[in-house]
Amino acid sequence: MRSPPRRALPALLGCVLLLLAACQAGEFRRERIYRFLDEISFGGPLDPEGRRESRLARWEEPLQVAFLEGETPERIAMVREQLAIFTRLTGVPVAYIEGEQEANVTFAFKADPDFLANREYVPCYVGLRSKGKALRKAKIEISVADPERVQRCVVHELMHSFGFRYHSGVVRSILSPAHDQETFSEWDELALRILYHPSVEAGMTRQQAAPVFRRLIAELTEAS
Amino acid sequence: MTPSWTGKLLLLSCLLTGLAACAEDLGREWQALDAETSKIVFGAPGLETQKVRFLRSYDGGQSVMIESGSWVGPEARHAKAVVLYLRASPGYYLVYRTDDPQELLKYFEGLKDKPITFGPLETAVNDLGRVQHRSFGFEGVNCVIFLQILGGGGAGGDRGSGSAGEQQVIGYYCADPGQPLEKPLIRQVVASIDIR
Repeated sequence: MRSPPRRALPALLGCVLLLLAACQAGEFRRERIYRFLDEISFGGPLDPEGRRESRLARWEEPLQVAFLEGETPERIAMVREQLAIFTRLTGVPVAYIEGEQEANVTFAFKADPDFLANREYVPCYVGLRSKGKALRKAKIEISVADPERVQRCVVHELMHSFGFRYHSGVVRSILSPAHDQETFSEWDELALRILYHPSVEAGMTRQQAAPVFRRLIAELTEAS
Repeated sequence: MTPSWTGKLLLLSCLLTGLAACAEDLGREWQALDAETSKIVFGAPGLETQKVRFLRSYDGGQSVMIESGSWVGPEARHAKAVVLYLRASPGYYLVYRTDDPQELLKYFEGLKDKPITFGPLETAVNDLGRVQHRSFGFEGVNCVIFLQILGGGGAGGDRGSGSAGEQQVIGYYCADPGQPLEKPLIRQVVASIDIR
């Protein structure tokens, strides 16, 4: 076998160094994505109350969505459009029904500028109920006082409703209080795909979920 | 020595591989800090009873560090105080400069949409140097916004240099709703700005 020409050796060396740098950068990015996923699932420094041990929660049944107050054709269309994205990413089916009785996800659009939740005034919030390992009810209230904020609120509260109960500033995300993100980032989409991946189970602890999250992040970021 | 065509192609493909790996936009990373770790020291009256949160981030090239501190009371509709601290790394300078803190209010999420009235622009001096400040009010709340430019020919807010400095401290402080914010309190607020 012929040895490579001498003149190609510096290029080969540069190539190896570049690939090593790229690999390290990839590892660094994957670790950041993991920390983001861990924080929005189990809580982190931005949600001190979320530091307690908790378990993964997600929907194990189809969503039955009802609008209780303040719905307009535009708002309904917007919610449907956003929920279609959630369904595409998670596989959770969504049906729209009348009335609160049978609904497990409800929307109320209110004129109030904000709501008092956990001793803080917020423009939107969701009350979540779970039973065992699965989410059972999400009651979403959204202020329409600032029309430009409504869609951001809808996506943010839906992310919580689908099982990410906490916040994180580690990457650009609709769940970050420190980024000016108006809608899903690609990392939010990745997080949803991972939470509803067949390898992940509702009820997993942080320790149980960690290796699964890391493996799926590597697989799915490589695939994309 | 010029590399061969094979070498050039290898380098090009490697560069593309590296660029592809870097193309994902994770955005800025914000880390929560405790009060002792943050560079911001702000002891204005009444903040000791507020919930405080410190965050730190760097721009992509690590040339500028940004820290924010926000103090929010229970059941409050906006932060009582927010302080931002920007520091350029050695060899770098900040590029945005204004001499009127009024122009910076738009950067504070909780205030940018409020119907705000401003008082006159004033100057004071604290341990760090010169501070530009201006009182303002909205919906019965009286506040003061301040700006301090440090270093890079702008030490102490040297307006003549035109430099944006190596460090900037920007922030606001509000009295409790319905309470006045008199000049002695403003002096206390400005005097209490410090950097570790």
